[in-house]
Parts: sequence; structure tokens; C-alpha cells
Amino acid sequence: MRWHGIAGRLCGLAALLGAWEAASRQGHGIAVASPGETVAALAGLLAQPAFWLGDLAVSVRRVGLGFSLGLAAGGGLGLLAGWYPAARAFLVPSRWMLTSVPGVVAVMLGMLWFGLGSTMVVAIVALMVAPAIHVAVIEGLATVDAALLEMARAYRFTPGMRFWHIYAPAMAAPLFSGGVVALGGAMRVAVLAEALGSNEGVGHALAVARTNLDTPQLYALALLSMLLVGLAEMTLLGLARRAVGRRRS
Amino acid sequence: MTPVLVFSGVGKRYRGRDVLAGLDFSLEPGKILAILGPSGIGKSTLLRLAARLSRPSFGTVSLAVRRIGFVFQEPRLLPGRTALENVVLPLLAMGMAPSQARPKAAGMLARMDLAACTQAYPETLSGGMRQRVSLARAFAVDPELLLLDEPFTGLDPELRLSMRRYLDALLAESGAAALHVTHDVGDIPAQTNRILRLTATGARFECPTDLDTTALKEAL
Repeated sequence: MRWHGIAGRLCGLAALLGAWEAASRQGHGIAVASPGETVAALAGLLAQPAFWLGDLAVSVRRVGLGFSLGLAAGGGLGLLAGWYPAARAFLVPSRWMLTSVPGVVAVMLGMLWFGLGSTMVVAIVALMVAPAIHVAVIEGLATVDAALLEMARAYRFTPGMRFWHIYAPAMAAPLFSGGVVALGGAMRVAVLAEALGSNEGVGHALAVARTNLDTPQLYALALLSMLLVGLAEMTLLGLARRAVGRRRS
Repeated sequence: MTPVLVFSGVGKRYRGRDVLAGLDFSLEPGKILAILGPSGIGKSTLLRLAARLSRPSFGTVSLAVRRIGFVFQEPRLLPGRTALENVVLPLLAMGMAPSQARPKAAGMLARMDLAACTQAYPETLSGGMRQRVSLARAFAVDPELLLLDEPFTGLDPELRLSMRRYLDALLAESGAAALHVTHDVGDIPAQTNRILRLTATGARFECPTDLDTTALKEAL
């Protein structure tokens, strides 16, 4: 990144913090906590081992499990749809339904179907992740070079060799890109589901802070959620860049 | 001597059009058959049928060997895999242990004067080098049948000559039977035993010694 890119981002961040500080001074502290109060509340939260081992660990575990299930389901169905046009057509309505349903509606339905708690959160995360991965895998399979597949057939490559050396490199870039988007969405929907229908997790802590009118705590948890999404996205984007870079050599 | 490849009344229909029709020939071990014909006559289809990459619409293709080397018009190397990996993979697919496959592949690349490029990715190699890797891949499997689909296409005259030399030397050493498809008489390997000319009206065998290259060039 060039220096003007870094400077631009720093200026943007400073402007955002300035606006936030100004907004907090306009009110009485209930609607908007100041950046200072928020950071202090966040530091207080992170200093508590009970928070790390409790709400934070629960949320991370739920998102991790839901994302893994969504990855497996979306990836498997994506391979099926990419290889068999009939399966692809068959899955279009389900994919459309899952991608178009608003997060809050999914949470409401999830609460009806799975009850309150972890199962509901994990299931909703998986259902939100699966379509994004499904589309990414189909997109990746569409870019597989037919000439390379023919070469692999001529040299009697095993199915495993074909997958690892031809399909996987083609799928890597779209899969990582889709994964980044899906992971961000998964974190958001998990926090929402926990806020509405769980008695533990970061989302639940947010709901408690709102009920108690503990605005700095609420802002600290919101900031933490954003930081977790950002961290996860940066990690996956780094992997995506490496995958694409290697493919392009 | 049992032929390595037999085409009996082979025809291929593609999108309602007969690309090949009533093709009969056999290829004995160690023999080289060049197939000449203009573009679109079905030469590549013939090779794909020989490699069992496609099924004939009519007739039968009998293949009596398992080890096949295929050199395509384009190198068809795996991107993101080194030149060595590209040559090793067909050997692993044959069931060879990696400890044997790697030195064998490296030796074949060295034979193609690519010893310094074993760890290079295809994207960093020139067109001629990539096609030499492709040639190394085909010969590394110790082919009993070699299928060559206009392997010099797109190379400049100097590179074509250089590739011809590599190919002639390797064919002489390996003793593999070969089907060499081309539309350029000048690309036919020196050791060619027979020539099969494909035309719109049918197929005809010719002896390389009887070949009127001037007339052929005009015809093609």
C-alpha cells in the first residue's frame, strides 16, 4: 500500500472518530458512548477471563461450527451443482430462498424450528454461509480448464489427483472470496441470533447491555464484533491473495 | 506382432456431421504413422479416439497398451505446479513411487535441456520450453504408444527445428509406436514408416519415400 493510501485511511479513521466524539458530546451519553468510554469498556471486558472463556468463546465456537457446517454443505452441493447441470437447476430455488431471506427473518424462523440456544445459532450461521460457498464453488468449477482435464484423462490421473491439481486451484480464489463474505455475514447473523434467542454469547451480552442501558458496554461489544469480523476477513483475504498469487505465479 | 492400436471401420459423428468415416488402420509396435490432413478434417478427433478420450460413433478402436504419452498442440501444463511436478504426476498416476518418479522426471527434463528449470512454474517458461516439458512428460511414462497432436503449432521456425530434433532423438531411443498428426509435411518425423492422408473424400496411405511433398503442400 502506498503512503497516500495509508494516509487516506488514517484521515478517514480520524474523521470517523471525530464525528463519533462530537455525536457523543451532543447527547447525554445514553444514545452514544464516547470513543474513550467505549475503549475503556472494551479494555474492561477483555481484562475479564470470564468474558474470554464465556460469551466470547461461545460466540466464536458457534460461528466456527456453523461456518464449518455451511462450508461442508455449500461446498458439497456446489461440487454436485458444478458437475451436474440437473443438480444445479434443482438447487437454484433453495439457494435463491436462502440468499434472499433477511437475517432477522432467518433468526425468527430458526427460533421456531430449533428453539433457543446454540443449535439455533449454529444452524442459522450454517444456512447463511452455505449459499455463498455453494455459489463460489460453482464459479470456481466453471473456470476449470477443460484442456487440462483432458490431459489428466489422457495420463490416467486418479480422481484425487484431478481434484487436488486441477479443480482445487481453480476453486481456491472464488472460494476464499466467497468465504470472506460468508464469514462476515456469519458473524453478523450469529450476534443477531444470540441477541434475540440465546442466554450466552456476545450477542446476548449486547442484549443485556441494552436492557441495562449500559451504553459504553454496548458500544464496546459492537466494536468487538466489528473487530472480530475484520480480523477474520483479513485472515481469509490474506489466504485468498496467496492462492490467487500462486495460481498467477 | 500384435498391433498396439487398431481402428476398424471407425467413424465419428459430431453435431450431425461425419468428422471421420470408415477409417481402418493398425499400428505395430515401434512404428510411426503420420497423419496428414487439412484443418477440421478430424485429425485431433482421431487421436482422442486412440487415447480413449472419446468413443467412436461407428466401428471399434482396439488399444493393446496401457502406457500412452500424449503431446497436445498446446503444452497443457498445470499452472501453479513446477515443471518437475508436471512431469512427475503422470508417473504417480501410473502407480510409481515418488522416490522413483522424481529422479526419472528430473532425468527426462535434463534430457530436454531443462535441468535448470525443474523448479520453474510453467508461466515463467517460454513457449518452446513449455512444449519441451510437455514432451518430457510424454516420454517420461515410457510410452508404448505416443500420440502427437501437431506439437509444433505456434512455434517459430527455429524452435520447430529444435523440437523436431528432440522428438526424432527421443522416438529413436524409446522405440515407441507413434501417431503423429500434422498439417505440415515438414513436421513429419524422420523415422516415419507410413503416412495416412485424410481428405474430404476419404483416407489414403502413402509411403514416405513416395511422398510428393510439393504436391502435398499444395493439397494441404
